[in-house]
Amino acid sequence: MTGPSFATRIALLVSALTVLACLLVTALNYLKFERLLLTQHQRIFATIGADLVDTFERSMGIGVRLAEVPGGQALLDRAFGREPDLRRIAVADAGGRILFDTERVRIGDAADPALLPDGLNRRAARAGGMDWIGLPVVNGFGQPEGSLLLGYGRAGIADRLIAIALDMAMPGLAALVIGLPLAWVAVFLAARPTRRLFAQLAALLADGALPAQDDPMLHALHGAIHGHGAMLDEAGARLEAIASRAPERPA
Amino acid sequence: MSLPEDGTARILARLVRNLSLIAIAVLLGTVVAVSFAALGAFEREVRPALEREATVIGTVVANPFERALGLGIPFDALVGAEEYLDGVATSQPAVAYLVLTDLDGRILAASGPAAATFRTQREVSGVTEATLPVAAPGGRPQGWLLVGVSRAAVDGIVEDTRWDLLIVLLVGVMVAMELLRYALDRSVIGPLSMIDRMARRLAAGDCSVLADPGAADEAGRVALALNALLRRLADRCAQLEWLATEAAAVGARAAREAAALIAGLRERLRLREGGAVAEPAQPSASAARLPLFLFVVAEQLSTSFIPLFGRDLARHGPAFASPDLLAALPIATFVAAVALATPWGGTVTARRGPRAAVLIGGAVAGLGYLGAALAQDLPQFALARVFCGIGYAVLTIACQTQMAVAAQQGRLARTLGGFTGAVMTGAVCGTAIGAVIADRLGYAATFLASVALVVVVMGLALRAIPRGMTDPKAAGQGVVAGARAAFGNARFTALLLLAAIPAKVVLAGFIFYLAPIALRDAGLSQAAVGRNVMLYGLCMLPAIALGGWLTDRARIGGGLIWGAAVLNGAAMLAIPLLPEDVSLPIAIALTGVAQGLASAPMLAEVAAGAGGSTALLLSFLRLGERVGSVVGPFAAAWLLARSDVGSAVAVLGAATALAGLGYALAARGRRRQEAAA
Repeated sequence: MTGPSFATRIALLVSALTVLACLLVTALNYLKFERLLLTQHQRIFATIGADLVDTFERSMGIGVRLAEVPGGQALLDRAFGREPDLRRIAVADAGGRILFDTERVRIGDAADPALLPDGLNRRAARAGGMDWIGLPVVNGFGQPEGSLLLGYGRAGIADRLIAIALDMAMPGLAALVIGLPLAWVAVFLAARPTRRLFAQLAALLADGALPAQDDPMLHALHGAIHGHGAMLDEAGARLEAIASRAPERPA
Repeated sequence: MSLPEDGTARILARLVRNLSLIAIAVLLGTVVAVSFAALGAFEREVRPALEREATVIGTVVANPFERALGLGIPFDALVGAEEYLDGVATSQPAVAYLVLTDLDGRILAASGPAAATFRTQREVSGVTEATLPVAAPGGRPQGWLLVGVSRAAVDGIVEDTRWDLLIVLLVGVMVAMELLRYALDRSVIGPLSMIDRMARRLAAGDCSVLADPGAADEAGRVALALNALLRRLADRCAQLEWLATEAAAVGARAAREAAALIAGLRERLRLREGGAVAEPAQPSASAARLPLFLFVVAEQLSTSFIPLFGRDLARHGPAFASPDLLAALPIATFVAAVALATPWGGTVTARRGPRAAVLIGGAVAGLGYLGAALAQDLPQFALARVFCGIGYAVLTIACQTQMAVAAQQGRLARTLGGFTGAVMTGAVCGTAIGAVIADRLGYAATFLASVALVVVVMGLALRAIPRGMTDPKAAGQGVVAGARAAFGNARFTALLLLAAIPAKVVLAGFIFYLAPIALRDAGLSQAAVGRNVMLYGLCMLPAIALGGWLTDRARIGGGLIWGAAVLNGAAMLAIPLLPEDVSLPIAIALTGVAQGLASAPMLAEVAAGAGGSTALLLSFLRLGERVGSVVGPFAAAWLLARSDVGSAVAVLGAATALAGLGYALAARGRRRQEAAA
């Protein structure tokens, strides 16, 4: 039976725990950064959306209906061109029918109700592989007249997240590549006296070798093995001597 | 499980110490390297993102100014610029300042929380700035718009990352130590003690028991060699018996001589008819400590959100009470279930043995966690927590009893101190990990993680805790009879009433109730209050080990119990005499030290000195402690209502010191009685 040493198991355990701890720290940091960047990304598009809503509301302030805001479509198209992560901007009326849209074929369709703002409150949602912000468009009397839906992607932050992941992973891997072999060497060095003790025990039990180590357990075992051996040898010799006698005559 | 002495013990002690240091060094090195890399990467990648945000805000804010300039309004005659900037700054929480200047940098309008600082210093720390030209469409710039975006969120994340790093390190090191302890016990310490036992048997001529080869490592090879030796001895004996038969053929005298020789041989070398059998599994403290640690982790995974989950469920329920009040129901049912089921857990452990009790407790708790994950309303959740509480009570008593049974000669207090250590480290690790899981995956997933951990705990118990080990003293004894026996024991009752319960009253009343209030009143932030309260646990963990070591080595367990109570009381009595910002952290730390010092001797006193069934006595000790934990906050609140925080703490301190002195007197009286007898 030649299985791995107990030191191998201990080294594997230390390695597994180290890798797990590194993964945990990396995952925690990555998720935290992702959340921060997503929140910031959302703030940027909320700012763009709020500016567009403000333009529509100013137009309505001079008495124009939302559907008739002059240059409404051009306004969306201009804003759409400014930000590479913007995927779609649409303006819907109070009933959810799309009035202006950067995807013109959708004009007249019903907007997804899950994206529309909740009354006068902004809504953030994720649908169709895009993040969405739904902003209410309010008239001069404070009544919701419609909504502006702004869909955006995460390409802008994906590069940053990949960069952060790589920046964390490379030193982490380097630390593991250097640290783990050192840990294995250290574990085997630390385990050496114990392994030597086991080796002496095995040798003692196999061929009765006298232990080099001054250990009471080893010496007691050595004494017991030799004591029993000597006793059996003696008994064997005596029995052989009896067996080799001439047959006894009946009395 | 007894350890081989002298040289072997030294080798083992050095092995455990060196491996622990290696594990800590490797974890520290790699995790710190990853974290510092993360912080560096974060700084590099977040700065451009903040600048982009500032630019986007600036573009939007500059728009009206540019329209006005396009209409021919002179730059220095822009009206209402400050009010406009005020409106934008209010709607943009990330904006630290918005400043409109002319081309020479003279400020025309400024707004935002850091605008005043900008006006005086022009350099605001913790802000990322973008500068945009303000010009009429197609015209030359006439001024600048400066947009400062606050780095507060980023700095908060950096601070969070440092705490996460500390928590991951703490959890990593604690988990590593627990697993290392278990692995070393299974692969080195346990086999060496087994070899030591076998060597003693062999020296005494007992060849009837074979060693368990276990794993195929060094210890397994030694066990196989030992078994081979035993078989060789048995074969030689068989050969000699055959030779004796041959010798008997020589004649009657030879037969008598040969028979006497074989009889002498059998007397000195005892062999079992039908061959040697494997040694029965021996109880081991680490076999209970790792399952206990993992189970406490499983239980504590949900600690951070149970009131929130309860409140969420209560909102969908009937409106006869406020959700905030109803949110306490799952906590109350859990605590009540733990308290009420603890004596029953003791009975189950005593009658069926620790292994069966761990399996029963684990199964009940697992059902509870599963129920909690699937709960749709508050009653279902509260019922699930009752199951969790019953499982917790049974399993913890079973592990504690297993540790008491397995504690080797002269190490009882240290082994039992490991119970409190495992519970405390499990609580720290579980709470920290649970908060992350709940945050990312949700409450249900966290409860399912607890179910998975409980399955692991049950698997470990099946593998590592031997069958049987029932307590004959508890045979046929029910909870009531057990209670009568326990409370009829004056030594146990004195320990419970004068040491264990007062300690828990101080813990719950001072550490968990009065100290946070006093620290908050002293003007500390919530985080600083948390750090101060953490001092209790940090000081307690090393004190547990020290208390166990002193009890086993110097045999001063009784003195430690009452001395710790007096020290605890003195520290609390000093609070009104010193400034609270100094005296409170000292009192918290000394309470941790005192309760840590007394923890192992108290358990050892119950397990070794009090007589009766260990499992039952431990269960009533735990029950008494829970009563103390419930009474503590109410007693503290009652005292607080009649005086100030300092006086309330002082009264609790005086009470605990007096109880300690009472325990010392009771112990002295008992010793005198024993001496007289």
